[in-house]
Formats: sequence, C-alpha cells, structure tokens
Amino acid sequence: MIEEKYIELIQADVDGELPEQHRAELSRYLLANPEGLALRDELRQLCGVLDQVPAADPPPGLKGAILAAVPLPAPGMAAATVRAGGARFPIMRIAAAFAGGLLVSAIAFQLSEDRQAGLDVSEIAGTLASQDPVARSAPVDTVKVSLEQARGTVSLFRSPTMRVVEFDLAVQQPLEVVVVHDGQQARFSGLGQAGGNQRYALVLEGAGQAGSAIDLRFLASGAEIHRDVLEVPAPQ
Amino acid sequence: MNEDSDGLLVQRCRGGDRRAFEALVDRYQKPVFNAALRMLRHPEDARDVAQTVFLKAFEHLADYDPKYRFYSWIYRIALNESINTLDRRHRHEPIDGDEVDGRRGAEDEVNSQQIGLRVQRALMSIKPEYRSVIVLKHYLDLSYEDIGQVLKLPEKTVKSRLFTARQLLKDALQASGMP
Repeated sequence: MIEEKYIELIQADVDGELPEQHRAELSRYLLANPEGLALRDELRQLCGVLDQVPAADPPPGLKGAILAAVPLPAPGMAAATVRAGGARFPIMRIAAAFAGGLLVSAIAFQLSEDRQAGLDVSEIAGTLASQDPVARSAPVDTVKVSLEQARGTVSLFRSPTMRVVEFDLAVQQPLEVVVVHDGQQARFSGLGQAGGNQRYALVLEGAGQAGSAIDLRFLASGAEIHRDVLEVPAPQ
Repeated sequence: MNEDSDGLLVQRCRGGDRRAFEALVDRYQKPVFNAALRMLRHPEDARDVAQTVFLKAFEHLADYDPKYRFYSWIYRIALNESINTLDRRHRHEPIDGDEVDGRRGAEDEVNSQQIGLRVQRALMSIKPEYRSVIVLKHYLDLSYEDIGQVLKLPEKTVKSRLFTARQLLKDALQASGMP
C-alpha cells in the first residue's frame, strides 16, 4: 500500500511537476519501495500511450463558420449604415450566420430586430454597391417551417435586380440551413446558437428566371431533416 | 501560452476589432476542437461545440475577468459545452463506432489510429468528470494549477481526480486488450 503523499509525488514526477524540494525524498522512497517504482512505471506507460494519440486538425471550415457566426463587422464594413426616411441609423450586422458560402454574388445579413412589417429591400441594397429600392415589397413565395428545431417562415422577395431570401425563424435547437441555387450553395450554420428569434437575409444577384427554384435544406447534427423549395414566379 | 497577447486581443475584441477575434480563433480553434473531440468522440459534434464555444466566448467577453488566463476561461466553456452535449445524448450511448479518427487515412498511421481508437473508447467509458481531467492534462497540456482554474477545483482535488481517472483509464485499456 502506497501512502497518499507518495502517490502524489510519483504522479507529479511523471507529469514533470515534482517540486525540487521533494526530489531527493522521492528518490529515497522509490529505492526502498519497489511498489512505488512499479506505480511510476505504470503511470509512465499509460501517459506514453495517451501521448501517442495525435491531435486532430480542426475541420477546414470551422474558422470561417465561427467568424461568420459572430456579429462583428468585416474589415471595411464597420460603418454599414444607410439613410432611410432622413434618419441615419445602423440597420444590420453582416453575415451573422453565413458560413462557407459558395454562392456567387450572394451576401447574407442578419436583419435588424426592430423591422415592422414587410422587408425593405432598400435597407439591404443600401450596403451594397448598387441601390435597388423596393420598399416594403410582398414576398413572391413563402414556405412555412414547422420542425422540432425551428418554426417560422422563409420568404423570397424580388426586385428587377435582386432576389432576397429572408429567414424568420424561432430556433430551438442548433440548425443548419443550406440554400442551393443554380448548382451552388450557401450554408447558414450558426442558427440556434444565439437563441431566440433569428432573422437573416440572403441576397442573390438578378431577378431570376421565372420557374427557377431555390432549394432549402434543413440539417440537424449533420443530417437532413427537411427540404423545401422557393419558386421564382413569372413576372406580373 | 501568450497570456499578455491574449489579454490584449480580448481588449481589442471588446472594442469591436474583428481581426483580434480572428487571431483568438486561430490560436484556440485546434485545442478547443480537440478538447471537444476527446470529450465527445464525434467530429461533427466537436465541430458544433467548438463553434458554439467561440460564439459564447464572444457574447460573454464582457464577463471575462482578465485576472484569469484566457485559455482557462475558453477551455472551461469548451468542457461545459461538451458536457451539455453529452447530457443531450443522455451520456450513455453505445461506445462502439470509430468516428473520432475517421478523417485520418494514411497507411502509416494505422497503428496510431488503433491506439487512438482504443484510447477514445476507454475515455468514453469513464465519467465525464474524470474524462475532463485527462483531456486537460494530456490533450491540452495544462498544469495542475491550470486544470484547477478551468474546473474551479483546488489543486489537491485535481491531483487526486487525475490519479483516479488514470487508474480507471488503465483498467479500461487493459479490458480492451492493451497491455
């Protein structure tokens, strides 16, 4: 039976944390107590096994997903404000949950919390290179989301020069949404982590062809749990 | 660990400096991911946890007390998030399955993979409170003092818990056929 004091010293020795003043004492103990020596060998062997397990590299998209999920302005976007109704006010934080997007000409925004009714596309256009004011337009298509993980709507708005996919979701559990269009995809991977109602918009360049579809794929724990489609209607 | 520069980066993050936050992510994404991976075994879960950890860290930067080391703080969030994920999984799922090293494929790593898989299985067979100290000691390379700070435990308790954890792990490894 090894005294607790010596167990502690033996372990500290193995971990490289043996205080200098105990070194001689431990050496004397080990010389006189083979079971102490055996314990030290056993611990060293175990540590050797544990140390053979290599550290894994983080998945390639992790950093991008993290940075996309935090509401900090991207370099050069720190002062994203627009003029609306004569007042100047900050309206959105960029790319709050947009991660690893491959969609050409698509930009994702987290919308301001205080929007009243309808989507003011001019708010979004205000931060882009070209203005495209389509104030308070009605959605051209909407799908309802009623999942264990999230409830709400995803709507498609359209102007002559852009389409906006708006997510208005109350997310209960972590959720990813993948938007697929024209063979390319954008992934929202931070949904459910900020809590509460979450509203994001994805801006797609161009009005889109009538009848073209925007696929929505909802994933939980990496598995697809729901799929839906937004359709671009023929012009009125 | 660059404690001073961590402190400086945190300060800049609080001022809205995105690049400072990016530097913290660069510095800590690997250990945070590895801590979660060893706690949870599934790379997908570890990825989700790592993402949540940084988001929470960002959201609570104002609560971070600079008298403590930043890495102690973020590792604590990582362990807590991992344990929350385990709770959601009800902690007692079957421990077969080899996802932890599923991404590693080089032939010369087969032996190391075998060891890795056995170690991971053994880790999953011990309670999260013991697994945590093993992860902090062996995969994050923390001192007893640092582990105490992460787990908010006295150093004495850290040492005894680590010893018990190692005994349990040794038994589990022996039961799996390792000498």
